[in-house]
Amino acid sequence: MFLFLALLDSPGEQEKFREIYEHYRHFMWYLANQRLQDEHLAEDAVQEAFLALTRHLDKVEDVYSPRTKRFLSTIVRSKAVDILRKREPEQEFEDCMEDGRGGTDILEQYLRKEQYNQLVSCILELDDRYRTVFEYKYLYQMTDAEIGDILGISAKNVNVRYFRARKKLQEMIRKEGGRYEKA
Amino acid sequence: MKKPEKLTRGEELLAQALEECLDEDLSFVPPEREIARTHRFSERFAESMDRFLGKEVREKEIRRHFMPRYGYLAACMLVFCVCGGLFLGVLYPEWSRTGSTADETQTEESTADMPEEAVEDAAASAEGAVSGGVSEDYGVTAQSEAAEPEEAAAAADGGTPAAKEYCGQTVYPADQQEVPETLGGVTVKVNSPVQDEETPVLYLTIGNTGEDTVEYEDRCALEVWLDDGWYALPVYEEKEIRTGELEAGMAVDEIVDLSSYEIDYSAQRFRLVTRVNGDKIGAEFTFSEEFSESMNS
Repeated sequence: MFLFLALLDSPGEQEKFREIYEHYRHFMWYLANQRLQDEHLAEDAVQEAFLALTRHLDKVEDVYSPRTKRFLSTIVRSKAVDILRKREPEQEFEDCMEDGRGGTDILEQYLRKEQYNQLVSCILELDDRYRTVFEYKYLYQMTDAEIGDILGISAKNVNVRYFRARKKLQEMIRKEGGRYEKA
Repeated sequence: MKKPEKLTRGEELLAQALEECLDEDLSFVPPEREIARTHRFSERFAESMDRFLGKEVREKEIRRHFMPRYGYLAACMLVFCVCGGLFLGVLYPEWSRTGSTADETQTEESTADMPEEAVEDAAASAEGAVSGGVSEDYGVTAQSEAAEPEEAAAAADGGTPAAKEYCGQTVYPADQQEVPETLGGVTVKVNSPVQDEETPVLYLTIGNTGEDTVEYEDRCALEVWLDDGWYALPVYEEKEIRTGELEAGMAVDEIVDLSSYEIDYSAQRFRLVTRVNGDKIGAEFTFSEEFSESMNS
């Protein structure tokens, strides 16, 4: 579990990993604890996140850049989501049964400049398990296989979760749009 | 990160919105230092991470980069010295004999200004060294011994102070060296705002005013001065020594429960000693008269 540095080949990578650990561990714990409301589970999420990071350290160019900070926040949040899902198997089962591809995907039609503010407010309300998939895909340009590796699920399931996320966001924007129109 | 793939206009907008939302969320997260002040990682977490980020890697690095080279270097030097010695011994036997004579002369000169006892010691050392085939360092040894007569006397009398009886218990001498209050940007203070008779505790505050994170032991030793030196007070319940990290600009309190010790509070000098980055650091204190009376009664 903790053979982090053994997983990294070059001393440069090890140094980079150590820098990230020194600089962001409390930040990552804070984010995990916000979601989990449990200090020890939050530590587990941080450890899981660092383990995942060893396999995707190439995504980090500058340790101190805002992009790296965002990337780490996405990883640790998705790990917190994982832990939550493991604690609530019923919800997980319900999600598995749900067909992610159901309905028509017309999200693209909602993604217009005029609806940007609605989009932002919907993303802020979007569940982390969906939002992190979007972030991996659109902010860090990761493939389904890479996302699956971090999340511990297959690429196919990543795709399912991605379509489910699109559908959810689409519904939220539609509802939000209705509220705007009424106002 | 790898170059972004071609995104549709809608997806670009989505990416922009995601980034904005993430930045907004992260803007509410306090700075790392502030979180570190309020949160301390559990022992389990810290140990695991330390083990794999610190010691093992350093050892691995040393093994990988230093040890083989050191080994080669040492082997080369050994071979060189042996070959050189054999070569000189075979070809120039007279030169090596002359060298020994010169060493003896030098010994006589260097001992000329020493005190008698030191000269005797030096001569004895020289004899031993010469007979053993080494004749280089004894002069320095004799000088250093002469420079530290008090230590030598103490050693002759039995060295460090002996164990004593204190408050019905045997106390053993602690490290007699003076322990600094400030060491490389780290300062310790004994801080006891309230001395409560019910729960008498002391706080040893360790403040890191330096620029680097330091490692400190979360247990400190209580020592008392008795006539001739510092003595460590035994504690009822031994606590496992754990280390913690103290980041630059941070301070931490180590709590010492006085009820774990048998103490004569009227003793004049006490000190709390801990270790920072492996070095001893501590602060002296005394108990106020009022507190001493109430506690001793």
